[in-house]
Amino acid sequence: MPDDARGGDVARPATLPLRRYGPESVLRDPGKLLGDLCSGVWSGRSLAWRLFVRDLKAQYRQTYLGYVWAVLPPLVAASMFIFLQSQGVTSIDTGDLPYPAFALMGTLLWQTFADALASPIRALRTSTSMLTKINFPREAIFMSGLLTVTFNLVIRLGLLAIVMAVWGVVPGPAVVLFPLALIGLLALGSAFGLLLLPPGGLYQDFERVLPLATQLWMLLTPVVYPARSTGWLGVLAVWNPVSPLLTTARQTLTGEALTQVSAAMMLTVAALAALMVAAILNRIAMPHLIERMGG
Amino acid sequence: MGKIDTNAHDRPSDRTGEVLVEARDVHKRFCRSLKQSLYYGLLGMAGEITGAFGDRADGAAKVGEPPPKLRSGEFWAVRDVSFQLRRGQCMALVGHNGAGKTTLLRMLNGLIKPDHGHIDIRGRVGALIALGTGFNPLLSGRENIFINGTILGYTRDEITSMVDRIIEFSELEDFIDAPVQTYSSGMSVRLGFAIASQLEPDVILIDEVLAVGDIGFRIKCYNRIFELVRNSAVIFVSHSMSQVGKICDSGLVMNGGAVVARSSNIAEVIAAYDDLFEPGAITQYGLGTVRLVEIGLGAEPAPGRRTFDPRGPSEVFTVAAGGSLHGSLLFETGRIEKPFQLKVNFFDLSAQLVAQCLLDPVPIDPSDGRTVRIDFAIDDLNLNAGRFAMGFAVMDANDGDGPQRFLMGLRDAVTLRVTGSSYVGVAAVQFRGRQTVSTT
Repeated sequence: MPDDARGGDVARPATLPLRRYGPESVLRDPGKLLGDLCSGVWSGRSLAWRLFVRDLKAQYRQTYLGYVWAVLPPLVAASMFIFLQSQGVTSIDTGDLPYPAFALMGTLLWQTFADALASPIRALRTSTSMLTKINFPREAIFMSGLLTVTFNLVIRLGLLAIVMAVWGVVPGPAVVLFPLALIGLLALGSAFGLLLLPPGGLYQDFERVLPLATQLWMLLTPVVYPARSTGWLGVLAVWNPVSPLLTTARQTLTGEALTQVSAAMMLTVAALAALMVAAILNRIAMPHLIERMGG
Repeated sequence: MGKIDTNAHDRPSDRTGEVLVEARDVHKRFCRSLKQSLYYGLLGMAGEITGAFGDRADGAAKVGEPPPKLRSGEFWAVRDVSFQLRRGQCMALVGHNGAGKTTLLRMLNGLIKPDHGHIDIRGRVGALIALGTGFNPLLSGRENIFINGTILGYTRDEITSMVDRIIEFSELEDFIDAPVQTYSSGMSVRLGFAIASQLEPDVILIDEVLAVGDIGFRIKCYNRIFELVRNSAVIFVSHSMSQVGKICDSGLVMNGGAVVARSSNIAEVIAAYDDLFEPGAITQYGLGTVRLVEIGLGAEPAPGRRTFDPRGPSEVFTVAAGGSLHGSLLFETGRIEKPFQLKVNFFDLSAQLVAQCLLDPVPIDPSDGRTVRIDFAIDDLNLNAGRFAMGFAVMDANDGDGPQRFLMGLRDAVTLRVTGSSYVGVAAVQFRGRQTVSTT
């Protein structure tokens, strides 16, 4: 129900709002579509918050390790590479920065992107029974997913601070750009995740392939090694959209020179635009998905 | 119910009668095969994106144009449904499982889009569907009230002001701070209904929500729905004709996606619904020492008998409501040692036993096989118009000595169609009373 003026005490408008459901594409009336999208985001915000709190409470009531789960995957991934490096299997040159700090910072930041990427489809699956039975602003489930991702990010930032303190990493003045780079990572992950949703909501192949693809993607991104400028990895550093964002985010924390800051800024803007397009596509897709989700 | 009445808000009375729901020529196609359905879903989404720029590529047709064609593997889940509903009206939507009721309701709720035609809805829509959707089992009832209320579109302040009323209505005061996973299914439904029924929307969609819960709470729910109906336009989906008869004032009967009957006389709606059902197969029980071989039923004495075949479809006999029912039954018996008596059972279509007639014991000498013919009459058949299944049982006469054995039993033996045009109500049994009126 898009109107949030509800409840008995609200005065009744003189003419009741009319809603029309028909087969026409919602894109035929872009003004109305944008209006609906905005009102969906606006009226869905309290629902998103409540769903977020519900999921959080439930999630940590039924786990023993609780909040540790937010940092465990990047810790495990990083420790593997730290072990290999310490045994001389790999010899990655990270300059003045101790390798463990470099790898941990990389995986902790990468996890933000990976979380944001996986969040929309997970939100869709866990809300199936609600979506197929109740008309509420659909944007709310994705906003709630984003809140969860942000919450886990905050926990990881705490660990990030500890890592920096232990290895004595001192950020330079460029640290003011760090939040911007984080927003870029969040927006990029969410945009990709949402763009995958229309086909991924229909075909489960997408969510099956997603963890595999994310792992592969991490290895092809300068997460546990510095960005190169030559060879295939150099090509990937340019064409892999996560590379400039992740590299820039880490560089703002280590006080190194920012090598890809303009690309990172352009990517952030592009990611926000893509997020907008993805939100519109999902408004279109949602009735088709719900029709095929069954009870 | 006094406490709940305070919750009913006065609405401008001149609003009564305005059209709140209008469905015109609504169609929806579904696909039997999931794989194909997913592919059509992909096409549908792509079509909507390209359709905005092309000409009718999204399959949208103007009113009056023919609906789109069915693609391979598809069928019409909803076909050519049109109706109008005004404030203060309560329309029943009845039909078999798979008749398209729920699909229509989901379109009215804006969850899925029609493939053709339009639905116009004025005002807020509340759906009493799937009570308790979004309940989290790990959280307490009180926490879930806030979550569920937010899902239904209430603000935090509104829920805070309603929470005591909701708990009181649900009668779950002692359990409200326990996790919902400790609730029985009946308790979850109580909580769900208590939350959902606090909505006072303009249009209410109700889908089979009163099928659970104990009788006391069901009555409370009915009363609440009655209150809601006064100020709203209600669409009520149910398989229980007694609920439909109590609540609705008009109805649509759907079959195979299409409206096969509509009436503003709820008794006609129920009769049309009853006609959708094939009589059940005849079932036999008892010792089998007595066999029914011929049967006749009618309004006049000595009705013509037809051969009775327990494996065949059940024969249909027609009588008028309020008239007499005469029966003539021919039995073949094996060895009979004791007097026996015949019992006639009347079931409604939901297999509810609504009336019985126990005839006097037949005095009989112990003997070997013979044919027995019983003619009986029931004067003033008090059954309402509609369809009934009749069963017959032959059992030992009750002589106060030993158990009464069933020598023969037949369920759904024949179908009795009771005709009557004047509307009297929906109860299966109707008494006729006399009255004297004196004015002073």
